[in-house]
Amino acid sequence: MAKVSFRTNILLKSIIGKDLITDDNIAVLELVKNSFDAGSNEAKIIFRDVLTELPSKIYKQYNDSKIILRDTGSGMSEYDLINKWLNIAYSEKKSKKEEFNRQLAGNKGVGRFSCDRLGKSLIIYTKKEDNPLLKLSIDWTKFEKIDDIEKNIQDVDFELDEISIEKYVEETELDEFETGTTLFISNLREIWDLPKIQSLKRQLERFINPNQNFEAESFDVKIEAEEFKSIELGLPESERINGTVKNRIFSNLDFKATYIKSNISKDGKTITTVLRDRGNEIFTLREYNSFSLLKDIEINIYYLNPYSKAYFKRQTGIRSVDFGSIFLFINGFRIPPYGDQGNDWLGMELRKGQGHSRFLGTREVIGRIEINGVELDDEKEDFFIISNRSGVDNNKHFEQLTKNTAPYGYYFKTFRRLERFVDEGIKWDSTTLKESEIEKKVLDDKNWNEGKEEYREDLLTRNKRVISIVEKIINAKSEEIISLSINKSLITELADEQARKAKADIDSIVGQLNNKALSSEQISQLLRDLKISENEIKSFPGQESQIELLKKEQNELKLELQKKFDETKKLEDEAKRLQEELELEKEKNTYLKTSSRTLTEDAKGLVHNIKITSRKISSSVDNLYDKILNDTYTKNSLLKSLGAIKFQSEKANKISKIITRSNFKADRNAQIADVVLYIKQYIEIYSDIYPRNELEFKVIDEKATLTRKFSVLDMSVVLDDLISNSEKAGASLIEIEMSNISEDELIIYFSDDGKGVQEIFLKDEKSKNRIFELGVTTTNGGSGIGLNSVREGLKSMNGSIKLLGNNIKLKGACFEIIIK
Amino acid sequence: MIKRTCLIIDDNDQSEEIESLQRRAKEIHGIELDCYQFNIGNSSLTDVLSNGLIDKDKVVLEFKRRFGRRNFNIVALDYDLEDTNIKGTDLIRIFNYNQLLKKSPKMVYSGLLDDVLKDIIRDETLDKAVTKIKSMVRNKVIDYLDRDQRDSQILKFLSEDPLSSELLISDILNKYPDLVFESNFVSDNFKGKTYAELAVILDSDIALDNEFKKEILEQVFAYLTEKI
Repeated sequence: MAKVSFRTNILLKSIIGKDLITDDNIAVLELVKNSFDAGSNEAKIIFRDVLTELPSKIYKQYNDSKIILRDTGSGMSEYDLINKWLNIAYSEKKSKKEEFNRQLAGNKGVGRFSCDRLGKSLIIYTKKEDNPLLKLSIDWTKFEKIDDIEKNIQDVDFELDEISIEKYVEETELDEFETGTTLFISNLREIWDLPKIQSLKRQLERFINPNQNFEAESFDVKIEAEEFKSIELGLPESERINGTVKNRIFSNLDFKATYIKSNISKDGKTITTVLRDRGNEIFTLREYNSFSLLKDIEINIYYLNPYSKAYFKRQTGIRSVDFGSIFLFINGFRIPPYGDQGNDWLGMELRKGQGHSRFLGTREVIGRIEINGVELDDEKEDFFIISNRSGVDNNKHFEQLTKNTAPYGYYFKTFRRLERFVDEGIKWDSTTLKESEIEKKVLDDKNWNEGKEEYREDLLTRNKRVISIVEKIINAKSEEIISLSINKSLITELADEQARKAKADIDSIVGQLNNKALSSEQISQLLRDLKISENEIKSFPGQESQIELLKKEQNELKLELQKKFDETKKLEDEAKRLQEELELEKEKNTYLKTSSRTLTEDAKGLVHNIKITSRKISSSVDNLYDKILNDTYTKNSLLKSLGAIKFQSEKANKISKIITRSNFKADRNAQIADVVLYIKQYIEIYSDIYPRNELEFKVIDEKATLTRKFSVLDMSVVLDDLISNSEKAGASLIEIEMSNISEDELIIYFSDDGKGVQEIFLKDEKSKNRIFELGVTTTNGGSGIGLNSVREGLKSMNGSIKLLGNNIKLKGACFEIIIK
Repeated sequence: MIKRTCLIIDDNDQSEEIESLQRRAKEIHGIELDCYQFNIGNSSLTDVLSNGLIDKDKVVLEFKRRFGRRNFNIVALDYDLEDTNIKGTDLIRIFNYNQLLKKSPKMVYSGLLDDVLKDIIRDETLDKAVTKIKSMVRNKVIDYLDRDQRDSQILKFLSEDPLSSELLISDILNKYPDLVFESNFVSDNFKGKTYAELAVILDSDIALDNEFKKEILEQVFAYLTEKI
């Protein structure tokens, strides 16, 4: 039996070197970490002769490109070089947690092999205080001889020399230094062009934790690539590679984003969470830490609304979605690839897919989880960084931090509070504009400021709601809470704002109220506006005396408005009623409603008489028509019917002429009146009724009188017909002589100075009687109806007429009329 | 052809209207209509006037002289008779009081119908107005209408409304006033009376009127039924 041991073939170098470290950026990062751990204030990364036109294959065979990493840290002594640096996997940092007041970043002891990843040759220049400047040259290709089973790592020798500082300056073309290490990596394995260096720079930006919670001096990473200076002149700041690498993201978020910050105390006993929104602290919560394995952790998560995203781009030159999401820092240094674009290590995107309108995803948030005081010791149970620098082991610690299902891990406990705030509190600060539109606006406008932001919702409503749902957001059991404080000044500010708004509403309403010409509809609208204002005040969280005063003012205004409304409505209703009545009246008049409500007595009488005469005419025409149709007429019956029609129509005509006479009672046809007086008056007004006539009248009454009931219309028609006959006979003078035969009997002699009646009618009584028959005419152009109508008319008033002859009183015809 | 009778009481001569009415009754409704007029209030009919005003006693006298106690199938009265004291509805009361036209259905027409009631309401005290309106309802006035509708309504009534038995009986009694029933009546009230006498009794006593109707009908039934 023999004692055996592991052998370390030279190929092991590659396994733990260029083959293990798969990413050039990570390789550089490891070296930077080493510089940091060495206590340097800066790590300078210098690129020389990297621009090439050689084809890649040829370049990779051999090139003059160099990457120089220089720090001014503690440096190494010969002892350090031989026993530590060259001691594979040895890491002093395992036994030390802190040095130079910094929590140590690297711990694997394999950072040295990053150099192998980057280039085939390495020269280390290092100087420790009170030690000489050392130079160690390593040709990594010597370890890459394959199939040499016998060759061990230890079999490869390097040259370790002491050199002067001047020699250093000559060889490296760098400045002198007191202490520190310069890694001169040459014959690079990859072409470092502009995009590749830009990528490195971005990694470095994220790498640096802006919230460096160490008390020592700062640590800067600088990139120097002279060759690119002229090229990058035309590029924006964010795309240039030369210069100090800054974590511009978190420290320079100088716009007022919405974010939540939570930390577990160093002793792991309490969690303190603060939620800030647009520069205002909303609440601060202290609760007991239920995560037994977690301590000294800080989480910062920013919610980016569309405007925040635009500001991000403006500041950093890249879109937040391209930048990444939630980064993980352990002991101050970032653990890639967590949070890189497309990396969903917390499962947020998956979760958002289940409730996209309620859950935040990687595109809406950026932030970091900083775990400090991690024991980088394999023996101790803690967060464990996987050796390929690509993540953290999914152990119990990791689970307590990242569990995304109930009961949630620490991250999601915090994250969900922000999420609820964003969803229910500020409604995602949604806008009507698209994100791309907003980005364009913000980037194009040199004078853009936050005052120009436009949201769907006004600030007051939003903030009120925020305050009112704080407890819901927190969602903590009361026994877990140590203390909770809500920003009183915010509430006061909101109350003031609300009060201002309510006052403005009241003033506006009062202003409108003073306009007397408001309609009830307008007043109704004001009442509704006041109600809205009232509700806003009522639902306001917190009691403020100013609010109370406003409530009182609102109430008084409401009463006044209501009163005015009632008054105006009443007036409007009255006006409406009157209008309706007027319309009805108009309608009545328009459509000739027969209701006689508005008729005067005379008009009523007129209607009455017209109805009678028109009915009679209508009946007469009907009868006449029937007789003609049935051929049952005689000349006489025709004439009779026609006579009746004419008489009635004359009566109707008469009504229209004498209706205005004051003593004519249109409401009744037959009146009890003095016949003599009527005839006298009628003759007097005859000229008014028939203005064209040229007749002269002479009335002799000898104090005659006969009061009886008679139809004035009939009498008028009788007189008209007689006068008409006289006119046709060429008379210029008519004489009417009236006298009483007895008290109840009146005799009237009607004579004229016309040419008289034809002889044929004067032969005897029978002949004289004939002129009253229908169809017999005594005048030229006469109808033969007139004297018949006269006789019929007189009959209706118990009167009679006969022809006496010519030349009795005057030279013309003379008629005798007797009325009893 | 159906035979019917009609009386129009109007202060205006209705000859032309009656001629037209009769023709329409015949041609359209198949009714042979005997239509009479009584021009109360007309200044030519001085027999019913005193000092130009309607004299109700003279009216009754004149009515009886012209029409006896006969009833008509329909009586149409003009409301406005050109008289300040007496309206058509007053005439109805006068006739009723004098046992005239009691069984005749009546309609009152006017050129201004609303005024009929308005006048009553305006001119009378409330109680009197109510009395007047009630009496108008009670006195077998079947309709109040506009003058224009008079003739058409007369014809409608005559063609549609059932003939009342009272009217029929009254008609016959008045037509043959001197005839005497055989003494076959059960009731002594009717035995040995002439038609004219019976007409008077029936007009004045509703109970007897009903009894008479009953008896007549029973007698007719008895007469027409096959002897058992």
